[in-house]
Amino acid sequence: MTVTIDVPPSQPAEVVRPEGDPGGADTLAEALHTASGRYEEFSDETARIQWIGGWYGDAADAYREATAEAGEEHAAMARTVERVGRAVTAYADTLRDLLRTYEEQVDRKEALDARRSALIADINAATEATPDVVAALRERATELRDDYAELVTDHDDLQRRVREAEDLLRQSFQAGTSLDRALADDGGVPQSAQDALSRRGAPGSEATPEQVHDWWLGLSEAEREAVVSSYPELIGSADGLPASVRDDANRVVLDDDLATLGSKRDDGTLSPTEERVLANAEQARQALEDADAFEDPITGERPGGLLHLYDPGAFDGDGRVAIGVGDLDTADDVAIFTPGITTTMDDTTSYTGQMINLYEATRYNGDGSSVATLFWLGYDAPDAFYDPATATEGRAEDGGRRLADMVDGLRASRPDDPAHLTAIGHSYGSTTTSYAAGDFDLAADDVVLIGSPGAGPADHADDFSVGADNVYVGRDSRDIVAVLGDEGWVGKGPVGLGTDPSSDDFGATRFEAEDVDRADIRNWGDAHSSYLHHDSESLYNIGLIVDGHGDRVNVAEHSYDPWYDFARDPEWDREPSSGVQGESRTRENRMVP
Amino acid sequence: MRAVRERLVALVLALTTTGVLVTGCGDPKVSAEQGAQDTESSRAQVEEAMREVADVVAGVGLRLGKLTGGWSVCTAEPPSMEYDAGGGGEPGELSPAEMIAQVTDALKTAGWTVENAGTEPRPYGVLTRDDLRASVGESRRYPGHVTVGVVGPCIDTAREQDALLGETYDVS
Amino acid sequence: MSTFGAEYSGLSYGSGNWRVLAELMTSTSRDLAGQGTGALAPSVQAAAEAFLTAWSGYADESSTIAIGFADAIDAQAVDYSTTDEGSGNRFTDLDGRLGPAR
Repeated sequence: MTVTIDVPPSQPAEVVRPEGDPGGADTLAEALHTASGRYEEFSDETARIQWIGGWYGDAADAYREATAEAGEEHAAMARTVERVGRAVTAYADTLRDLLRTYEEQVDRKEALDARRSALIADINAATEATPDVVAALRERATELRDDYAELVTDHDDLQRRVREAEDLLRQSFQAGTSLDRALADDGGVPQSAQDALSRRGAPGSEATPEQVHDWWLGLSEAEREAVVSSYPELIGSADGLPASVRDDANRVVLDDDLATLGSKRDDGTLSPTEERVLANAEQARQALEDADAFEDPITGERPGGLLHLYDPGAFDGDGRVAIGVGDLDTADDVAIFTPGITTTMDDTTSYTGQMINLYEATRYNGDGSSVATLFWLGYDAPDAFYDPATATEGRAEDGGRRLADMVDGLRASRPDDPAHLTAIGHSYGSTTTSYAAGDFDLAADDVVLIGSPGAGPADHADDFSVGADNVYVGRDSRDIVAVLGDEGWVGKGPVGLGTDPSSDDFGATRFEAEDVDRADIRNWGDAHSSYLHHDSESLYNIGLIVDGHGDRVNVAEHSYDPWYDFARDPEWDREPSSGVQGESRTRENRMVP
Repeated sequence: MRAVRERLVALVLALTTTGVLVTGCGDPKVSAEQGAQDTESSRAQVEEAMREVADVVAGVGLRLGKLTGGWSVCTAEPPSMEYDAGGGGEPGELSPAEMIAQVTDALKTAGWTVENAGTEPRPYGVLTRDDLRASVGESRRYPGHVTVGVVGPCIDTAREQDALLGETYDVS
Repeated sequence: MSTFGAEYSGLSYGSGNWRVLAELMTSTSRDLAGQGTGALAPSVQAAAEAFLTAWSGYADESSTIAIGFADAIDAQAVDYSTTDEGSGNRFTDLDGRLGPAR
């Protein structure tokens, strides 16, 4: 009796490699960014030498008119070549992704072919075709056919994405080639991107985060690529879009800044303002490199860095930025950290390092859930204690509104898969976070205030959108800033920025947060800045809260203010620990097996 | 406006009396040169101690694999970092908890002071010597393995030292 | 036109700056022309080459524009100088004295 077992053919015949070289494309992009910088220099210089000292009369007037025209045209050309340069950067990034997918598919096909060969060998070797043997061989053949079919589908998808990426780049070049296009306001922007952006719900049209999210869902993959490469600044800051999309867009702008301003620095034509922007960009690059290289302490995998917001020229050069580690689109637990006064983009690398600490602590003591931590400098933090803005709380209020909006954006970007979200505010940032939760309905699950000079508008933890049971406070007894808030029936008058949230009247959960190397007196230094230091009580407890287990924190007694004396802090005399399991251990010792 | 001025004056007074304003809040405490010198020196100190610790624990049968080190952030403003180094290995015949206890004892004999040790929720030991802190525990990433590490004190840095973060050093 | 005037040093400074810009754009033109497109997929290369050729030409044109400004300023400076010198001679030749000294 002959039994037929239909072994599927090896498919696809060949996994086709996407053509092109991302590194070479990056080099071309850099050349275009340099050219953009040169056109910008031409335009800037034209404005500067339009007025030649001591020269006036008809000839001088005519000269000025001609130079003004040249300046405007060169500025427009700078923007066009910049847009095309960004399109090439985005293409290089996409090509990298596509090549990774290609490699995966090659591996998959090899594995399938090996299974196919083994199946054929087993069929040929089968001497007794019992029904069981035949059924088993047929089942293997069916599974193999299904797996080949899936690979063919994925391969078709890869080839489609390759074509779309190439089409988009070709259109970008074409949209910036003729002189008319070079001088146009939208030079270098392909029609598909313009069309996509003109649809309802597009960012920049005062659409809500939910509408922006819907707009994004309505775009084809090609249109998405087009808007990311053509309007990266807009996409990079659009609340409601997936974090991975914002990250792609912001990295395009960052690469552009580094290349364009870097070439201007080489030419010696960098203005003081541009110098600051370049310094901010370099901080962002360093921070991202650190975040990208970080390995999860439990799995050893790289969760990846994230550039969620990038606006290095904002707030008079202080910059706006949000950088983190982990996948904001899928993480079970998300933490957003808001810093306090004096923080600028100049501090990005250090704060990103603290976000890495927080990620590590959360995972090390966690329940296995995935985590993302984000440093958010999306508001204009006051420059110093003596900055009047520090005392007025206006920046905290404005920051609170922005923070609540940003969280709304995150919520809108994943409506069907909400994360457990913790908002952490440090120092003045705790007042900012208090405004978000007290006045602007912050859509967080938990709020953590550390080193807080006061809870802004909230007199009681109940005033927060998350409810009193979800408000946590960390205060090192030696932290000078954290004792500025009002406490007790007398209060401290105008010194602080609202109620001291660690006090018993406020009603939050206070957790242990003493620094093991604390000084004998209150101070600004380590006591105020060490809340996210590894192997500290504070980081241990914050990690538990971020992981969704605030009920497991090591609770500290509240401070209180007896009517007959100054405020008391029961933590003052407690001996703190470092590196103790269940108290202050937050990381794994290094190990290479 | 008057209330705002009062509040500002009070805040400045409160902070000036404690020296906060005088030093500046988030500015680096040291120059780039000083930061470079201090970080280099701390790294050398930790690495030397880690190699000594590796020898000590080898004496009780724990052979650590490759020793590596790296920097992490202590404080963002003003910037400071700490260097830690470590390694891990299999405890052989002993259970991880037994090996952790033996390593803790061996380090104590070698001049380290036990600051904390216990078994809940996981076995561990924390020891100090001068301004260094050593720790021993069971790996979560590689279950069944025992890891040992040494961390140095927080070192004040300048922005120029930011580049140290993310680097991994071979300590062997 | 009611008033006019010029300082030679200002004109010279302006002209010098335009020549620096001209050099910058010449170098940009060269850079763009020298860029390869081999790293891009073949379906994109023709469009990229057309773009680079066009923009290399635009940069050349920018350089020409800058030189044009520089030359015009220099010519203006020469004109002012020549006119001023000629006018000076005319005034030097004038004899404003009275009587036998004239």
